[in-house]
Amino acid sequence: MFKTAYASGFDNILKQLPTVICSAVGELKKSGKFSGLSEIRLRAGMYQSLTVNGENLIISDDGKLGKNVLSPLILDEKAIGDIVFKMCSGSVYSHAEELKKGYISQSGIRIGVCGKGLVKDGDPSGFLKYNSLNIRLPHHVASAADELLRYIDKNGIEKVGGILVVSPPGYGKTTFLRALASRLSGGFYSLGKFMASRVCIVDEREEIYLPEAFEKGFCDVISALPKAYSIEICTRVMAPDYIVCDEIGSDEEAEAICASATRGITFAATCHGNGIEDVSLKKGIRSLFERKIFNTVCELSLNGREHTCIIKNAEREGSIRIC
Amino acid sequence: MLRIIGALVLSAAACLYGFFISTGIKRKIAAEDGFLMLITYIKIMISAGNMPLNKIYSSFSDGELERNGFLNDLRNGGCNAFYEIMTKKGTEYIADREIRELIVSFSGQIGACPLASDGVRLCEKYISLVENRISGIRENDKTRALLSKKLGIIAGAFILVMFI
Repeated sequence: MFKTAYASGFDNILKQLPTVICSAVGELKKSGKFSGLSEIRLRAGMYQSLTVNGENLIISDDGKLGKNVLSPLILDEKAIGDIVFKMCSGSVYSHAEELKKGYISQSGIRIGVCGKGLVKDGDPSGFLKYNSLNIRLPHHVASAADELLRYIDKNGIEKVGGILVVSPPGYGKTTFLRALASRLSGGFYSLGKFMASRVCIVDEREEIYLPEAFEKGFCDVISALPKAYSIEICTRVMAPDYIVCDEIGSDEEAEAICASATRGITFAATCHGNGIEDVSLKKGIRSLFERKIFNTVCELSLNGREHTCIIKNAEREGSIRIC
Repeated sequence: MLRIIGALVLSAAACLYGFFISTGIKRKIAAEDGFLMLITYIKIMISAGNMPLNKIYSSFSDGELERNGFLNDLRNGGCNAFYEIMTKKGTEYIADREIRELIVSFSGQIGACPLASDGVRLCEKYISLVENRISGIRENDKTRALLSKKLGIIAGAFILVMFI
């Protein structure tokens, strides 16, 4: 179901990495496997690797790739720190809020960060030293939500209502949501009738919105702010038909979603979990089901390299456990 | 006639040299003030809204730092431009070794501060250190500038008297 595509910010990220890693990515391009690249993982004192089609390929010190290389590339803590410094455009403090949550966002690409934490006044406040980076390459797969769009066409957008995408991490929730948002804002069919909605993307971690995915359509983006706050703002000022947000779950977010839903806004969101029963154990999500804010649940699963999407009616499925 | 013209030329050269040295000293003073202003501006912009350094540099303006090309280099440099410029070309911009070392040390640390509050504290520390140093040498510099100018004029007058 999922095909890979190129993400625009990746070139900027590559410029900030050591040349050996750029050579390894170049090697991947030459071998025609670049479309399978999903992550670049850098670790101080350990192997540096690329995740390609789910496999970890180690980078050698001459920029070659392999599952087992003779002389692997080893970066020290200073090199990882320098990369973080560059990723923050030389102003680490200006990314403090992101680093507090364990990542840096750049051009729609999220870079996960690990290291020795910094605690100020009892609160986690970022990192003193950096050990590991996970550069996740987002993919715009225009067809990722096609199955759901066919379901919308068949059943009508009114009946489908709010959509919750559920899967464990790494199964393509954000890719699915991006494709869905792109089609909802760009044009889709509901009961055979072509329509387009005003979509507001709440992109706290700046990873949903990719310029190439939203070239056409009625889409507004609010980014780098807490989800609950953003939902309130865009409800008040943008009057969207849909609000799209990633990785919901907290009580505060659930409250904000409920408040917006009462004003007639429909939500499309993602949540970590194995399925509808799993996520309905979370208090915030359970309350959203109870208030019928999400009528449709899409469970994503991965069999080998094949992604599948199971569409469920939340009311019918949920009634087994929720009440 | 030739002697008078020669005496006038020599006298003018002596005066201008005095003024040239005096202007050089005044520019070094202005550059030191410019760097102090830059650190103060960085502090204000960080405390106002965590503004990243590249944006701070592009919005900062100072007559002497514009004239000597420092700000141009800073705006067109990479993410560690301040530190790189100061380590490579610091002597061109700041004459006093102690102030130069303070600015190099500051430029190497400011971007790596994990929190805005750390950045503000760092700025405050270096503002105080640079101000202390400047207050110690400023009177001397001003006297040197004035003396150079006066000496140039006196030398010029002396040449005129001697030759005419």
